[in-house]
Amino acid sequence: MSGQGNVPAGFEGDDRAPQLSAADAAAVDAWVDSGFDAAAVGGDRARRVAELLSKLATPMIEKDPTLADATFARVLRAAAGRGEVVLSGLDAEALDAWVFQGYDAAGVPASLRERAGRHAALAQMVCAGSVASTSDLAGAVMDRIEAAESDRAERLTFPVGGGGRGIRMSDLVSVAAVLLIAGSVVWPAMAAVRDRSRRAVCLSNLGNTGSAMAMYAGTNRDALPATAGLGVGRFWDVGGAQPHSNSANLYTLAREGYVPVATLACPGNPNAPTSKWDDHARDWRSLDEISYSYQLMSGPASPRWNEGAARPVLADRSPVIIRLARGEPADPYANAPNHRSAGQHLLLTDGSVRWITSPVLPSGDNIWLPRPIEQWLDEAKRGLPAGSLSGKESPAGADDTFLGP
Amino acid sequence: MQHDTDEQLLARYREGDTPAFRRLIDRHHDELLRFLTRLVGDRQAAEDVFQEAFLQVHISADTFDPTRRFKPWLFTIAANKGRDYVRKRGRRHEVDISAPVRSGAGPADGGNSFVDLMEIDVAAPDERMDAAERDAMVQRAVDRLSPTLKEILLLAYFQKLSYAQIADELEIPLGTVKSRLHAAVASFARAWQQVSKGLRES
Repeated sequence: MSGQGNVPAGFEGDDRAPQLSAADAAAVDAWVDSGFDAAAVGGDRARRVAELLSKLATPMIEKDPTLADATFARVLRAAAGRGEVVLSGLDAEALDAWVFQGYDAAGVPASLRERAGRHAALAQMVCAGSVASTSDLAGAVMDRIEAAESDRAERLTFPVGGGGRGIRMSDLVSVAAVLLIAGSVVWPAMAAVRDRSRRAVCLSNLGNTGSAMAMYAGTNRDALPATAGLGVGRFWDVGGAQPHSNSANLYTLAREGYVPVATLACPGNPNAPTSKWDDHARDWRSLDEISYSYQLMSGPASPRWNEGAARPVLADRSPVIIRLARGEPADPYANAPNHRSAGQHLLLTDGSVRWITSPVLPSGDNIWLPRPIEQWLDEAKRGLPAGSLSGKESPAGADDTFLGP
Repeated sequence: MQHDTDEQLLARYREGDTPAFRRLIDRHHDELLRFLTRLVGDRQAAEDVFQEAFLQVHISADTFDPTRRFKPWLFTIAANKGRDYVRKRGRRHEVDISAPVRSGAGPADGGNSFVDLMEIDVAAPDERMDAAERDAMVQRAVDRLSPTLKEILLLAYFQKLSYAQIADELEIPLGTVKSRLHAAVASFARAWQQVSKGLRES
C-alpha cells in the first residue's frame, strides 16, 4: 500500500474516508517494517509520522488521588440509594480498631474510644438477654444422644462416603424384599425360557439320534443297536468292565461314530458327559451320566427300524429305573426328571419324535415297565415298592415298550 | 475436673466419660443459647437447634482436631445448624408485619443512609422498660437483618473473633469479612434506632 492504486477494496471512491498522501503512506510502511521503531526510520517525514503514531502507545495515567475517593463516594451513594445503610467513617474506623483490640474498647486510641464504646454497648445489648432455663436442655441433649446411639447401633456401619451413615437392618430388609418381588416376577419367566431352550436341544438330540439309528439299521438289516454280552447281570449296572447294561446298547451309536456323545446328552441332565472320555469306552460310566432310556434289547423279539407300526425306542431317562436301581420305591406314573418332570420326548422307529406328558401310551403301555408288572399295577393301583424289579426283566415282546436304564 | 479445658473435656468424653460431655453442655449453655436465640429468632427454635448442635458435636467428636479450640468449633456447628433451620423455615414465608417496607428504610423516610453511632441511643436499660421488653426489642432489630449479615454480626459479637478468624470460619475473603461486618453493624444500628424510636413514639 504504497500508493493510491493499492487502496483496499471497498475504500475506493469513498470520499468520506481520509486518505494518507503517498509520501505519508510510505512513511507508515517504513515504520511498520522497522518493527515500530521510530529511531530506526530514515527520512524526516518518516520520523515525524513514526513519532506521531508512537504517541498512541504512551501511557497517560497520572495518579489522581481524588479518583479513589470519588469512586468510593459514588459506591456509598449507590448503596444509600438502594436503602442500604453504611457506617459513618469514624464509626467504621472505630469498629476496625475495636475488633483489632480483641473487642476491648479500652485498648482503642483515644480519638476513637468513645465510638468503640458505642460498638461495645451494641454488642453487649445483643449478647445480653435472659436464658433462664425453662427445661432441662442438657438432659434433653443427653437423651437425644442416647437415642441416636441406639439408632446407630441398628445400622451396619459400612463406610459409605465416610459420613458415618450406615445402612439400617430395615434398609437391607427393604432391598431384599424388592429383590425378592422382582425375582419372583422375573424368575418364572427366565425359568420358562431356559426350560424351552433345553427341550428344544433335547428334541433335536432325539431327532439326530433317530437319523443315526436309521443309518445303523441300514447297515444292520434294520436291527436296532445292540451288543453281545447281555443277560449276564442287571441291565441297570452301568459302566462295568464287561458291559451288560442296556445303556451299552445305546452307546454303540457313539462308540461306532454314528453320533457324538453330546447328542446323547440332554441339557436337563447336569451329569451327562458331552464328549468322549475314552475312545475305547463301551458304556457310560454310571447311571447318573445317562440322559436317555433305550428299549431293552433282551426280549424274545425287539422292534426293528421302520418296520410295521412305529414303536417307541428311546425317551428321556426313566425315573423308575433310577429309583429302583438305588433300592428305593418308585412312582410308575412319574415323568422323566430331565424336563422338570413335566413330560418326556419319545423317539419312535419311524424316526419321529414327540412330547408326551405321561409315561402311559394311548395303548395303555407304560414305557417304564414290562407288561407283567403293568398288569400287576393295574390291579394294585399303587406305587412300586423297592425291589419290584430285579434288573433282569425283559419286554414281553416287540410290542411291549420297556425303556431303561 | 473443675479446671479442665473444653478440649480436655471433649477428649475425656471420647474415651467414654459421659459426664464430661454434660459439663461441656452446661458450660456453654447460656452463651450458646443466647447466640442461637438471636440467630433463629425465638427461644423454642433456639433450643431445638441447641440440641441439634450438641448432637452433631457428639457425632463428630472423633473428627475434632484437639490442637484447635473447642468453642469456635461449637459455634460454627451451631451457626450451620441455625442456618439450616432458618432456611427450612424460610420456605414458609414468615413475614414480620411490623417490619418497615424495605424501600422506606432509606433517606426517603427521613433517616440518613449513614449511621452515626453517636446519635443512637444505646444507653443501659433504663426505668422505661424492663429487661424482657428490651430483650424483645433487640430481637426485633436483629430479625430485620438479612441472614448473612445476622450471622456475621452474631459470630463477631458472641465469639469476639478477629477478622482473620471470621474469614476462616465463614470461608470468605478477609476483605469481604470487613465490609460485611461494617454493613451488619450499620444495619443493626439503624434497625435498633427504628425499633426504639417506634417504642418512644407509641
